Amino acid sequence: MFRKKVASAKRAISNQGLGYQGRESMKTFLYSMVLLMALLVVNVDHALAGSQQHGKPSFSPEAIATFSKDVEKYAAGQGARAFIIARRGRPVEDMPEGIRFTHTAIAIYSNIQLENGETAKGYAIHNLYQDADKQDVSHLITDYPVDFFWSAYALEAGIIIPSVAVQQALISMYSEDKAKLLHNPRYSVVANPFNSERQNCTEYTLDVLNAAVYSTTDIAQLKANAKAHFTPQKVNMSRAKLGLASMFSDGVTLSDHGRKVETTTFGSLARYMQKYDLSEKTVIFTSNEQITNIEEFSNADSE
Amino acid sequence: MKNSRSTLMLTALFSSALLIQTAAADDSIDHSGKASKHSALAASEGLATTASVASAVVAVPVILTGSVVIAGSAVVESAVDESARNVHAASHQSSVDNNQPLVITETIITADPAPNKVIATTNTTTTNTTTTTTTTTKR
Repeated sequence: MFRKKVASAKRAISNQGLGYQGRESMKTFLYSMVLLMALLVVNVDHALAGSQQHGKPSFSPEAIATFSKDVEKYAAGQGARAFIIARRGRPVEDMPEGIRFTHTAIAIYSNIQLENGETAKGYAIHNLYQDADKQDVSHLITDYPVDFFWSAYALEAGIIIPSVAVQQALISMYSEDKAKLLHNPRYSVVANPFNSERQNCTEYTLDVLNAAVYSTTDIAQLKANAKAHFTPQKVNMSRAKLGLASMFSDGVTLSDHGRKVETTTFGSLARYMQKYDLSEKTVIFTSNEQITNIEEFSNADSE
Repeated sequence: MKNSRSTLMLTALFSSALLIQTAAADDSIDHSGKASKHSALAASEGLATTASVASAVVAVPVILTGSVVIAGSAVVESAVDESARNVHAASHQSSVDNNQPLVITETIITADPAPNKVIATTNTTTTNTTTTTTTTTKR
């Protein structure tokens, strides 16, 4: 598309016999287009990174395996049979202000049957993942801590340990296979949690959590409850910029939003759970087993 | 001159939008299902002496009923029946017992299949394709 534009601009210069000023102006336009093309290529590569760049780990397999096992052992040490887990896939400075974690899911303590016939105890992580090719589509996929952190930008985990009652209700959602009823495959990275038009990974987590708490999978009821009690994270970007971003990625849309663009994040989920006594503990767990208790949940995302 | 300036401004705006798209892009893309992960872990010298790598087939939640943890499909039904589905009722159960440390396997579990399984699957597919082609040719 841009090549065509450049070619037609060149033709315009030669055919129309532009004056010096016109040629200069056209030259600037061409340079700008070249710059834009370069940026587009770089960003398309980055935007499609889910199946490409994300496939390449930033750390050694040993480091990822050790960290993943440490996270499991920490949660197990707390007696957590179900917890909310988040990872960071990008540098904090690249994220919109107020958002730290890029992916959230639910970990359930499970009996895991292995390929060799043995059974092991550990955490299975129940995710909503964006399709790597069709970015406006998502799938429900179960993986394990080493898979979860394989391509993380930082060996850092966000962990919310729910109250025992909530853990029990969450486990029932999965043992009764009801969590899948909350899945909406129409994906948007900035999905509005107050309607069912789009869903991202953290909104799915919120929906499963609320379904567990309210003992219902009635989507309309869950959305009404979310609107009444849940405070989402404002996406700190101008509407115009977000609108332009949506033009270049199927995974970003504002069609489900009104004037304000707000979405579900790990931090907003942590604040919600604290406010209504649904959680026992929220921490940021890092690779050197450093554990930061998040007392002020307003900082859960932005710390 | 005016045109140059507006072109540059337009470019800057688009560039900024593209960068924002990158920032806003979710990271929630599946990292599993890559056979190379299993291989990388299995070949990792640092892990070789301390842990094994295994692929998971299926995971069954360990059911929590009061102070007792019950696992396995045979007891799931009764355990679920016993478990208080109502959050308020459940909150009266002993949180001390429920918060006991849990056992975690030292095995590194991945959603990846083992490399030999991937090769076997590929070979089977190839064989099937060949058979089909031969049959088609005969007809």
